[in-house]
Amino acid sequence: MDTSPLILVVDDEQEHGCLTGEKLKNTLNAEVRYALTAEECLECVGGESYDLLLLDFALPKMNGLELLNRFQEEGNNVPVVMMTGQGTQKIAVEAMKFGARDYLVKDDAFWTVLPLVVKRVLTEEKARQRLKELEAQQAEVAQLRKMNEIVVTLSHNINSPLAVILSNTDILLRKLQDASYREHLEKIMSSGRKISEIVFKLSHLVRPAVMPVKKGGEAGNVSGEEKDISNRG
Amino acid sequence: MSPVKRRILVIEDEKNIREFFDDFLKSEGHEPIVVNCAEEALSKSRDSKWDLVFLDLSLPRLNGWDVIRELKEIQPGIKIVITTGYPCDMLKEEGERCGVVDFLQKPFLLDDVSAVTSKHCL
Repeated sequence: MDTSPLILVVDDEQEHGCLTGEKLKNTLNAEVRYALTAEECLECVGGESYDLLLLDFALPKMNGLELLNRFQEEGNNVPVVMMTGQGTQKIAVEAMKFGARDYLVKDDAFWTVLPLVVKRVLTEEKARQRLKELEAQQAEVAQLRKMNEIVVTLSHNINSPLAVILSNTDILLRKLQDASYREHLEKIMSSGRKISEIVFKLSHLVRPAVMPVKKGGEAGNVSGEEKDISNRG
Repeated sequence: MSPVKRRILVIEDEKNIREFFDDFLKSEGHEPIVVNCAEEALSKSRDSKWDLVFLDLSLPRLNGWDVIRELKEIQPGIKIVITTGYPCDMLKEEGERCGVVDFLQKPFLLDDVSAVTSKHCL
């Protein structure tokens, strides 16, 4: 493990709980907290973010399965390994159904199996978290790509009619000498340039990876009909 | 007014921009041939030589880059300027690969068109 995993050992048999914790400290360099009851466990889980819960089934008042059920209801996805007594494999199977990642039987092999199972569950959880992060990143990239395409298409759709407005205004400015007309044309020209600057800045806020020009012409004009942007609303 | 009359092909599907090029290039003393689609441009290019081509990259039916490649096959060494409303810098790499000589970013003014024309029609 790169960093010490934080593990909560929930066991009403204090001595067994402590030995379990010591084993995890020695073998996995874990940081361990302890709870003796389900209530204490809920209090601990509410206050700190644990990498793993080692949960004894036979707790007083609220047993391990009920506690697992409570976690599920609250949407708490902390990985849980259930500890059960000998001959209670049925409970272990139930625990797995309730979302436990694995189970440990308190028998002679317990101390050998304990670090192996805990380590595997921690590794799997790490991989699960990494996968989640990657999926979130992918979703973000997809979102950004979509936004890029919208911005690029938007800049094209604004720049083309703007080209007509500005080039024709420019023609009129060259032809008309009357100062009163020129004043109005200058205002059109100045406003058009402002729009052009805004579109330029907008299109450079995002860095488009690909230009959305598709085979067969741009989107929205695949019919091949002649465009006349003067009639656009 | 340019001292030398140049034959300039304009491929542009937007009517108003096409008309602008036609009027303005004529006023500059050139001979513009304006078409609204790539098919007509390719057809005319088989019979005529151009000093310069203004090509709108977003044409109906045909991909603008394919049109450039076909024009270059018909007339090797043809000078093509891309006119586009898309940000030009994102087209530069592909443009250079296709051998276009310049880009004219929409919206453009008369001086921009004059400058590009003069630069490539010496």
